[in-house]
Amino acid sequence: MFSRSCRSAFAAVQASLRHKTTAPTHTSTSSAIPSLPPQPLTEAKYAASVVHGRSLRPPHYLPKSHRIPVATLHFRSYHPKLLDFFVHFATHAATALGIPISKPVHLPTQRTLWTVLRGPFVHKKSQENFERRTHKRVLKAWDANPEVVDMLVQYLEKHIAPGVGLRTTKWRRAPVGVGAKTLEAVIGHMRLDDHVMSDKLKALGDQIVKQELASAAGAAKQGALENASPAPSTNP
Amino acid sequence: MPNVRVLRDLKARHGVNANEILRRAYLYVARNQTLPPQVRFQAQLQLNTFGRYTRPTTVKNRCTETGKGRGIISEFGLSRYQFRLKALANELPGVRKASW
Repeated sequence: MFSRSCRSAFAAVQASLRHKTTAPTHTSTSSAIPSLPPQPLTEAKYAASVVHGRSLRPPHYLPKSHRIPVATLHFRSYHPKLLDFFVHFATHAATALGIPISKPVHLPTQRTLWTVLRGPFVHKKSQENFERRTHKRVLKAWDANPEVVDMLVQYLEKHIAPGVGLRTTKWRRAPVGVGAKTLEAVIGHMRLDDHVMSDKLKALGDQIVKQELASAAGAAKQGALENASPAPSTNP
Repeated sequence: MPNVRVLRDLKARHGVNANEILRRAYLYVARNQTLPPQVRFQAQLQLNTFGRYTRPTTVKNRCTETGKGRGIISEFGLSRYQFRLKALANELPGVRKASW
């Protein structure tokens, strides 16, 4: 939708800035380090420059510095236009926060089909087809601080377009032995419903057995007493 | 306003949820062949005292609009005809007519 029209916005800004740079500064840098390549345009400089209709254009995709994946953002929706619009918004947000991201990746569209009878009763030969297409996009993010990634996710969740779903997967560096510590922290809060359920069942069942056995024993004793006291003649 | 069959199904779901553990404990006793027959028989008698709407078999997926018990599209909880009506009225997000 947006990507094809004005791909050159960033290049144009870069060129204009390069023209504006004065000769003395250029010579001074070149004299300090002779084989220095031209500095890439930073996001801060790009954001400070005036580009009309910047939001309509694709963002400046920042270069990856270390290629360490930090997050994957999955978007899905039944409405492709809305989805593309929101993904475009998300790319701009990520770039503005200085997060290197991939271009939107199109995942295969999921198609759910239903065939139902037209009428409420019988008439199998007259049917109607319905479908629902779930469109999916993915953005990958690299080389950003966890706080910044959290900020991006919170921002996107706050301004999420109705009808678009967002699922994020984040990866973080963790110290050695984090598993044991996490287990310790979580051990009281884990959901072990099935286990608890079977335990409860077993305990209740055992309790019932004990009660019934006791009552049976009591009844037998009473019966024996009754048998013993009134008449010994009843013994077979 | 939900149909009476839907209400009855709701009642069954609540009853099953409330009595599941106790019922299954009695079942465990009643079906345990290592226990004396008298205990198992008492447990079976106790099982019979539970009401109709505590049995899990009374729970059935029904159309939330009409209470129909057959031809339910479980994702929407609607019978096929209600699903068609709603889909044609654009009340189900993303569902459209298809042809292939």
